Amino acid sequence: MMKTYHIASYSKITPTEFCVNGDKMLLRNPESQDLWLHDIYRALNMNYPKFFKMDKLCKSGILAAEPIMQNFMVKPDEIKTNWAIIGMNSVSSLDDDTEYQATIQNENNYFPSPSVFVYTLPNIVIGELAIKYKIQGETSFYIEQLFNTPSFITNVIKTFEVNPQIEYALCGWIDYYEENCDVMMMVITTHPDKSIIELNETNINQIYY
Amino acid sequence: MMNMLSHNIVSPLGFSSSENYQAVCAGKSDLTIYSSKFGLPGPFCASLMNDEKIEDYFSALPHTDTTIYTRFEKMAILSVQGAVAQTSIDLASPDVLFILSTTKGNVDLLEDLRGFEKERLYLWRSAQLISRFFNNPNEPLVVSNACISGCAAQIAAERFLYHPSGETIAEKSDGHRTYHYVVVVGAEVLSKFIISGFQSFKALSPERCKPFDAERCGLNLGEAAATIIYESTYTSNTSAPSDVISFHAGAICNDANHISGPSRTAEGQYRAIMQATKNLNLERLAFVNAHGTATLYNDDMESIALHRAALSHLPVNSLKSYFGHTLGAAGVLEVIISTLALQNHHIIKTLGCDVPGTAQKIHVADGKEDCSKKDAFLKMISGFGGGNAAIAITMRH
Repeated sequence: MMKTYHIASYSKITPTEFCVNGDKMLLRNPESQDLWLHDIYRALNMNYPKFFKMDKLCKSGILAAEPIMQNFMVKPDEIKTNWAIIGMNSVSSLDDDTEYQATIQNENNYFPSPSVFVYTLPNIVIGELAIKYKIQGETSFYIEQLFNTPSFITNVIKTFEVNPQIEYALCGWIDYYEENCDVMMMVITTHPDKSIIELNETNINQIYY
Repeated sequence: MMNMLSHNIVSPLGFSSSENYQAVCAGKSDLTIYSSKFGLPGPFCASLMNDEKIEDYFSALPHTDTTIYTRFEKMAILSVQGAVAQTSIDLASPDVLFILSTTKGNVDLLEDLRGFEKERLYLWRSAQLISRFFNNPNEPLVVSNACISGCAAQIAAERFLYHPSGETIAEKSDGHRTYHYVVVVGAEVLSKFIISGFQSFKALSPERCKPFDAERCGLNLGEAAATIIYESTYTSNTSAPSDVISFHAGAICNDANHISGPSRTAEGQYRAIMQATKNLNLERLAFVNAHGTATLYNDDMESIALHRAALSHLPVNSLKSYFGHTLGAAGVLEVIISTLALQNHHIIKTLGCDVPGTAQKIHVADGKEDCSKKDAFLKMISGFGGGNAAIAITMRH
């Protein structure tokens, strides 16, 4: 029998809005003195000090994941080998790459730092998500010019199809460059009882665009 | 199921797979100590491509304007060209998908664009230029999963190839198509950016690295491009080469432990090995080609993974002392060299390992083992972000 796939929850971060399951959770306050991402962190009442060490790509991934993972964190210490993580974006880690380049650009001001360099890889956000939610299944990061619904669905479904032990996937488009935040994350599952909407092209288009 | 149709390696040791394989068998390595290069303040030991050789080979390609491609793109194009030249397939066909594996692409342009447009910093743009060089009409995919990228790209390739049970939801719901061939190209060039970063991690060995050696003290970086063209077993209409090399299975598992350090229990690597070898008769395995970066923690972790998987009796080798760690190219390059070794019933010696010393005892290959009756090998690889991958490759005469 053909499996069906379901969206259990989803979130979005744009430069002006933070939405969960279609509801606007926070609108950007143009008067705010702090980073937009830090305002979201406070709105979520998070207590994850490690967050402040991360680059902005990782911060956006963690913030988008936090509200949609809540229903799955009943036993927070439980290792999730039946979960996968799939990340995609367009800019790779160019935001942090630019920051790192500034530390080596000038011979008279040369201070390469491992804590900046470690974030110069796009899949580090996936690694941070794996640590935070104790996900030990398949983790992958793909890059394409633009968010592409068929490609997104294919990458997600193929991950389930070849890994029969995977029941859930935390996946999304996580793009951050020069203050432009374009993030959509969702939990996709094979369990119909967890479904809020079905995984299909129409629904993904509606959520993303 | 997919089979390897052809492959190529472009590295300081040669511009074809066989040139590279022969150099390795002869114990050659191009790891060199550079005292002043890339404007770095100190010396480093790496395996770097000769610029003039790249230009010579590239300008020999038909209809090429050598000024419009970066060094990174030229190496990737040369490698794809080397692989496709051995086949009769047409890369301009819509039945062919390109997958590029790289960690940093043209990141050297961040320091100075050297006349290239800013868009060249995007990995998808390089992938497009590489696939369009061959007039391929499809949008290429980039896999960027740190050091495991080359293996992750091969694992992804299998998912895009035609399969008879392919009436999947993916294809039904969105019209997504599958392909008859996937070109997996892994490439990496080095720059001040990458080397200074690894230096800041204190991860680099000042001389040629010593994988699995008791006195190993870090890794070397290397430049290379490597390509494998895979074809779907089910649509294969090419005349079968003497040996059929099959991608048996591959798996990726995360440690969920640390973004820049391997797991002390080798959890992810162990589980990736178990998944990749699930339907394989382990008696078939000739050897394990490890990641073997020669950092203290990586090599210990791999020894623990092999011990947990009850594979520590198998000969293990690392190719890092021949090529350095070629990052996004490593998983592709090392699968190619290991495949040639398997076909030649030869287990490559781990150059630089004099006295093995890892957390768990393993059998580091010395080049003298007999594997004439074996027809499979296991590749393992791991990297930043907690990712671990394993691939099993089999051979049929």
